[in-house]
Amino acid sequence: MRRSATDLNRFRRTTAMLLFCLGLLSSQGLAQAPATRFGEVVPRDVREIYDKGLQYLVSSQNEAGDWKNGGEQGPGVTGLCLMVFLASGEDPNYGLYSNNVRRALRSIISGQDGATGFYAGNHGHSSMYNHGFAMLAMAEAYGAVDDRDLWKGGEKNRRTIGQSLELAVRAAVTSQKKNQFGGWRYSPDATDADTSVSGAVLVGLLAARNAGIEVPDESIDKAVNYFTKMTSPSGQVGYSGGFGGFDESIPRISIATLIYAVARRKDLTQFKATLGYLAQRIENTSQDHWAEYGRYYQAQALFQGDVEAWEKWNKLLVRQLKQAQAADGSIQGQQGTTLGTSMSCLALALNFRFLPIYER
Amino acid sequence: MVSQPFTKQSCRHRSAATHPTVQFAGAARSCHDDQTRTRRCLPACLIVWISALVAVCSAPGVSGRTSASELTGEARTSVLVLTNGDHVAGRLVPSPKVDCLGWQSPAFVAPFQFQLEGLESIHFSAPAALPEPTGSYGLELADGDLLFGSLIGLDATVAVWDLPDKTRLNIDRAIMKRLYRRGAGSDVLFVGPNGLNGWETPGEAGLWREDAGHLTSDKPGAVLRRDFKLPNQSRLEFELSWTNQPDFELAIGVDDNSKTVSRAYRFDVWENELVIQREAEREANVESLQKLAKSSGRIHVQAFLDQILGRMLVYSSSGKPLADLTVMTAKPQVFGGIQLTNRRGDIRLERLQIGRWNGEVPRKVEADKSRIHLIDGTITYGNLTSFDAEKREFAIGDEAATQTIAEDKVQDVFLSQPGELAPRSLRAVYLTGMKISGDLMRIEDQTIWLKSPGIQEPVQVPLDALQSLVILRAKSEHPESKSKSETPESPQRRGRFEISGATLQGYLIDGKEGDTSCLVWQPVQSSTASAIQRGVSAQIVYRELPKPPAQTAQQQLRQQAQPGTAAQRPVRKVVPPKSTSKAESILHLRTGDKIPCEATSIDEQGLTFKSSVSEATFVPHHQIHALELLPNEPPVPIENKKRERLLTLPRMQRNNPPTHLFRSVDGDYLRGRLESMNEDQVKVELRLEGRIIPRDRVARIIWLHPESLTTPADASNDSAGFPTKNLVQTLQRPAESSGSKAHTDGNRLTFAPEQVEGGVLSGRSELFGICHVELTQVDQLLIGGAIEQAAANLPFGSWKLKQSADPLGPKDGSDGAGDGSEGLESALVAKPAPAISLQTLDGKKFQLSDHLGKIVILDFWASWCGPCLQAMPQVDKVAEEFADQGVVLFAINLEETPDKVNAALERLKLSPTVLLDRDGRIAEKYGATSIPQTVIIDREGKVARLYVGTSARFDEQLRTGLKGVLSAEQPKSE
Repeated sequence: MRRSATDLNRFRRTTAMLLFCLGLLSSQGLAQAPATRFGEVVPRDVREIYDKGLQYLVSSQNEAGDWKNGGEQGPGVTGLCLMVFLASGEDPNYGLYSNNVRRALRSIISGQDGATGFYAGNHGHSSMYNHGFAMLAMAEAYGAVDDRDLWKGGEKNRRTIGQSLELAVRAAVTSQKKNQFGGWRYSPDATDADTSVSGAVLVGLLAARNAGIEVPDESIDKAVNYFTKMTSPSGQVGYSGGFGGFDESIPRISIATLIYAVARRKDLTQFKATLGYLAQRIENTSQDHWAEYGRYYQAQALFQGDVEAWEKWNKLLVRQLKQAQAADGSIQGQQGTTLGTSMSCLALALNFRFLPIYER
Repeated sequence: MVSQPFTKQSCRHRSAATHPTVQFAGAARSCHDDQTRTRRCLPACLIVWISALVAVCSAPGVSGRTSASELTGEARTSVLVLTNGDHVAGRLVPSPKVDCLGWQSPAFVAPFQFQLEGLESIHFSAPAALPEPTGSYGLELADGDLLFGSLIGLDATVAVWDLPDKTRLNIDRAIMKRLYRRGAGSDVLFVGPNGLNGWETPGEAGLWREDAGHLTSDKPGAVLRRDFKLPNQSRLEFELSWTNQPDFELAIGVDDNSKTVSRAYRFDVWENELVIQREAEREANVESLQKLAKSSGRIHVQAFLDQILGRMLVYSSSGKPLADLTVMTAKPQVFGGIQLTNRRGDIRLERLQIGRWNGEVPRKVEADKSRIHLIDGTITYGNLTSFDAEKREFAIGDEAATQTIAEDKVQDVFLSQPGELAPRSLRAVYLTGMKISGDLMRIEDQTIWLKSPGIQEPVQVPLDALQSLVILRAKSEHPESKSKSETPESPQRRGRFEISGATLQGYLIDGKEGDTSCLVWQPVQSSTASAIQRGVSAQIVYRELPKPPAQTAQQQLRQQAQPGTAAQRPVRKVVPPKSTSKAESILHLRTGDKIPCEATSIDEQGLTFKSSVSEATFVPHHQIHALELLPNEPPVPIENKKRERLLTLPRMQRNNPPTHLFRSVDGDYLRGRLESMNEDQVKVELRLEGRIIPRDRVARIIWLHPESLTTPADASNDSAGFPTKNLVQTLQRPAESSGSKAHTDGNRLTFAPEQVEGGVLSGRSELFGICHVELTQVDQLLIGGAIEQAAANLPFGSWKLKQSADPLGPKDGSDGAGDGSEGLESALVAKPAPAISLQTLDGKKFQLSDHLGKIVILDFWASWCGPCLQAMPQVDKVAEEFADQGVVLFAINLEETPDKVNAALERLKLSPTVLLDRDGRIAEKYGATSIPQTVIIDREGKVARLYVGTSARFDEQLRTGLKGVLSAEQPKSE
């Protein structure tokens, strides 16, 4: 399951894709005030934007369960869309979107390399970004979706969600072992690392651990350590190599904040620095640059780090999305409408807190 | 008059001491000038509009979406000037009547038919290169006409003449005044002035203008100059006229050095006398030529000048000697130019003819007799009886004898003076200077047909050969007597239609919206009316708006007060008025509409209000410009600096720009987002946090629409935020405006017009529904784009948010550092490097002077500066590369503790020699107001390069800089 050079290059410039967050601190997390724990009344605008976004994703999903309407595609994109359904509050097994959920799951699993565990995709569109986001989605589905009748027979790779997730974790850990920085980059075999890809994979691993899959502590620690090196005292976070943090990237600062929080490392000075940076600049969103990627992470980072700041920021998000959403429910993004819509909806999904990763 | 030489020392003729009356007369005149200038100012602007019109007609969209060039179908533009000062760009079109000119303006659907009597002239823009006059003869006719061409034959009654375009004319002898040979072998060098082309007019544009081929100015101090390459011996004939007491100077034999003007022979006006004078280094002379009328008048003289001999002879146009002066300069030189200066009043250069002079004193002429001037200077009197085209001979004689004179010996033929002249209605002035007058027969195929009295054939004049068409009228007819030419007084209100390139007085007459606009304009001088083209940007002015009042002394004082003084601070914490009637609010819309209203409430959608002038009770946010909740609150001035800051959007807020500006009754301002307003409260979101403000504290709210947000590079975004193309806006001032409100304008209403009937303009407003406006109540009617233009000048029009500038910073792929990519731009470069005496991080003493003989790199940095940390590894690496050539690096840290410095170096894994600039004094000496700043100092201790900022390729830049410094010292080492 080596990716071709062409495929890797495709992703090389994409700084961003997405992802997710985790939060799964749920059961062992500190006690929260009930309002925060279970969510408050969801503003009407949030529900409307989210529902329209869902409709767009329903209408644009292929029979095979993935999305290919221009822009980015692959198991990570399918995973993010899958999470939009899982986070909607509809029952994943019997609700409105159960069919969409199952098609998306089959698409991701059937594209997994059985030997390495890498979510390689059915059409070759993959990277460690995709692997990380797909792993996160599988972790969120694990235990929530009844997969006893996921397969009708005849399909290849008829694994359960749990089997697939275990394999995926193994792939991520193997890849990390080859990496001098303890992180990840586009290719599973890369020796360089960047905080954007590393964030996607690490959040996936944390979600898997929280879902009950065994993930070596060493792997988590190495990755968190990588982030601390990339975080400057100002709170800014570098992109690639083993050292950085000289320019402002709201997505990267949010990723670092999120992984420190979800890895239960709020004690780190780097966490305080990154969260402080974000909280002092809640009006500063990535509106012009990788907007969907930025809002996806900024929502979770603020939610995990400073709920009051998140509540204020969330108002701005709703305003921006209301304006950005097209009549068909799609939300344009720098990486196409599928990612634009799914990541924007997931940023809003913090308002519902249905996904385990959105718990604090 | 016998000349009286006088010495240089006494020649202070224009000084107040010796000629106090000159000063007095001048002073008295200026008052008079002002009165006349007012009357003449419109024609004086002609040149300005002609050039403006070229722009209008070539730039689609300026005069609206109607392309003028499509309408005119021609490249040259033309402007019609009316006797009442109106003017309108367009083109001549056929007219059914001979006493009318048809005129199609691009701003109107149909052509107007203007009565000739109401017209002054038509000016055609000059082509880039003026055509040269052709033809072997010039023929002056009665009434100032001038033809070029060939003389084909002549007898006692008729001359047969071929125009340059070979059109043959039979011209009545009775109208022929003078015939002269031109071209090869002739001594004529110039006949003009033929418009401004070729003339220099120093100073601002528009000081001089063309009129019927003449050059005229009423601007004090206006100078007109041209180099004619005058030969040493030259002959000049000129005609100048004026309408007011003249005060001018015509200098002959000058160049563009003003010194030559003061040394030249000058026709000058001293009080009410025309004199010819010259001042040289040692002598001067002056002679009076004639008395000048105090009102309008003219002079027509001939001058003969020998610049080497310093001699000037002046004759009247009829040949009467007027002056003969010789004033020598120390170094006689020949200068080729002529300069005319209008000191005051007005002056018009009507004729200028320049030729060579053979140096012989002209013989005495019996001016009233017909005669032939020969090239050799002799004059033969007698009637010209015929011209033999084959033999090229003139026959001249009387009853007693006839003699023939070969054509090539002839210079000038003066024919008997014409008698009474038949009137004619217009004169065509050609680009070549040719002039023909006559009555209009017809206009067709871009050709105008004239019947000229005394010329048997109709004359056809191609419009593209013309410079202007001038309407002539009987002398008794005052050009400004408008009544005859105007259409009968309309019952409608008279106004002035204004568009770029036209002003036309007239009336809006009844019209209905259909295929064409319901706005139909009837100019007072036209027998027909026309609908205004859709999409034009125009206005109709019924009543001039008063100018804003000058600032009161108190206001000025406040603004001039120095920062920190008590006078500058607005009075604060005024107790708000207890009873604020909501009815007092004034609503300003982005269209410019302004209505009094009672502001009931504001929600997410917009403002709910009640108004006596509107049926509508709701207006959405995107249409609102401002709401004055307490319009009677006294204004509190705001400093420009503060205002600037208030309207500059910080980068951090770019994704959440404030949408409203709130002004408190005390004059404090607040930026934020208006969420709602009810009777008591205004709910505001400030940086994403909710706040509640008592409503009676808020004097006004200004809406900051995101689409009006400008960047520093694009400061003039004056869009009203909606299309105004097919709308009109009426401006009504309150009947009685008084006191402090006198300068404020009245209600404004914008709507799509549907009909004009009986003096009422009706239409539909998106917001207010059906509108009816009586034109008698309207001060101004703005049409189309003019609404947007006016919006920029409305109250609060300039309250627009603008983006703060982006900082200079590292950018991937950028070619250089933030600025000074060569590193040579700083003022410090090439100067001795400021001395440095600091402690190093490990506690040692450092003196820059100890490193003379080495190439020193100074890297100014701090740990909080991301770009600095990005640059440091690059600088370190490059310094290492050049270490063996004597390059050393010192990193100067700005005002940080050793702990922070050590932590940063630890992260960077670098260990340069760090100097601690704890108080920032060294950074100040090196002008390091922005960091990173990298300085290269050469071996002699001079600053060789200075870079501010960094980039992804800063290492290459620094390498190039070091190589440059090293190569500069190669010659010395060799």
